[in-house]
This record gives sequence, structure tokens and C-alpha cells, in this order.
Amino acid sequence: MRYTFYLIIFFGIFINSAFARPVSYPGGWTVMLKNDGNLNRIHTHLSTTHKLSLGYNLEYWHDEEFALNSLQMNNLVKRWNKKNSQANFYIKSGIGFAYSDKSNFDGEIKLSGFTGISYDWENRSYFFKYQNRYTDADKIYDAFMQSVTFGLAPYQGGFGDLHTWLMFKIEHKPENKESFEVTPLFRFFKSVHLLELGLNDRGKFLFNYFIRF
Amino acid sequence: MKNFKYFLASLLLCLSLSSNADEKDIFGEIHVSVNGLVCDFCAQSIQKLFNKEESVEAVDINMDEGMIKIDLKDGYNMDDNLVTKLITDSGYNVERIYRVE
Repeated sequence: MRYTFYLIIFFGIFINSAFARPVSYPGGWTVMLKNDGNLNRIHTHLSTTHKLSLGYNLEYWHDEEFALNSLQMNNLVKRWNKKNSQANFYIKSGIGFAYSDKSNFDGEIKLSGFTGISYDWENRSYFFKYQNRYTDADKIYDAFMQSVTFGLAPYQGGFGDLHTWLMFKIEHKPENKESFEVTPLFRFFKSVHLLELGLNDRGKFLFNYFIRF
Repeated sequence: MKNFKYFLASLLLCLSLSSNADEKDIFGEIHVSVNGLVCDFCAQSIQKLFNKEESVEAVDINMDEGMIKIDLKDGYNMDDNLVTKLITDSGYNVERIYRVE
């Protein structure tokens, strides 16, 4: 079953590479730093077309005590551009290695992979996003997670202005004892910089920063 | 007959210069109405891609109207196919292209 999963990711990456397009703009680089109660993450990618980006993802999971090193592909499957709104549907997949610090598996390195979908819709006042991900790192970790995010912009800034969003994120991890986690957060962006600051219902901070160049 | 040849040569020269002048004088603004222009962070890609073009002097993005204004350098032009390709590569759909001389 596990090898079937890796096979799906492997072929998914190459099949998508052949037919897919990028996420940012052709030749555009993006660096994303994510830190929340669950993990620290850095993901950098290059968009090869306007529907496909390829990059490297490194993340460390606090409670589970393991790190994931992955080559990641983000594939924009479909975009809906309307006069006053935009919606996107993505598939995100990665394949690499997991390294564990945890007592039972201390020092173990296992083949790992993840795949999931993401859908978002926004206009200039409201934002909605759903995403999920299944991660498999052999004995080290094996779990499904999903989240929804709602956003509200208190004002509509012009191009180049500082933009502010009030957001509310709900994460669901069915395998966990406390399976829901709620994080209210602020999102700010100006020019090519985007910053998110939040605090979840367990008192853990969220700090995300993206830059595009 | 000799005068006629001079006249013909002069006429051709004038027409040739006039033709070159027309090409050099093609400049101005292109206004593009696009769909999906709702996110400033994402719309940065429009500026990035258009500013790579030698013919582009400046790009102005109006999110309220969903309109992109492209100022061209004197003596340069940009055809509709290239405008459409750059907008599509930026992640948007062209609704209409307007030319302002």
C-alpha cells in the first residue's frame, strides 16, 4: 500500500510536469517561511510556467519530532478568473526523506511523501480556502490533515498599498486526541512581501512570511 | 526623361522616409481590461513580466477597475498577442485591449 502511494506521487509529479503550468509567473521565485504550533517550514520554489512550480520543502514537526526534506511540486489545475473574483484549484505533492528525533525511531531515516489538494476563492473583501494533505513517512509518521480559512478585508487598498486581512483558520487532524485547532490571524501584504501573525487556541504563535521575486 | 527619374527617385525616398517615420511614431498607451484582478500580492507578477519587456516604460494597475495601463517607450509597439501572452502568464484573462495614441 505504501509503495503504491509513492508510485502515485512519483507518476503524479511527472505526469503533471508534462501537462501542467505554474503557480506564480514563469521565472518567478517564491520563498515561504512558516512557523506555527505544529511545525517550522521553509519552502522555496521556481515557477516554470504559470501553472507549475517546482521547489524544495524542509519542515520540522515539533510534537512528532521529525523533519521532512522533500522536492515539492505545486500544480495549478484550474483557475477561474471572474470580473470581481478569482478561484484556484491546486494539487501539491512532495517526495523525499524523513528523519526522526523521537525515542523509538531516533536517528531513523525513511522515504516520505505527501500529497493534497487546495481550493481557494477570493474577491477584494472576502477569502475562503480549503486544503488537505496526506503525509506518509513510513513508521515515523502517517497522517491526514485538513484546514479551512476564512478571511475578511476591512478596507480595499489599491495596487501597491498595504493590504490587511483578518483571518480565521480551523485545522483538523483526525488522528489527534484534540483534533481541532483554531487560529485567528492577521495577514498583511505590500508589494512582494506577505506577513501573517496569529495565535492559536492553545497559546502557540503563528508567524509566516512570503516573498516573491 | 531624366527629370522624371529624379522625380521618381525623390518620390520613393520621401515615401520610404515617411514609412519609417510612421513606424517610429507608433507609441502611446495600451489599456487592458482583465478578469481576476483581486489580489495585489498576485498582481505583482504583471509588473514583473511587463517590466522585462524593452518596449515598456511603465505599468500601472488599477484594481478598482480591473484595468492595466501599459506606457510604451517612444518608437516602440507591442502587439495584442504579446500583451495577451504576458497577461495570461501573469495568471489573468484578457477581457479587452484598448489602444490610446
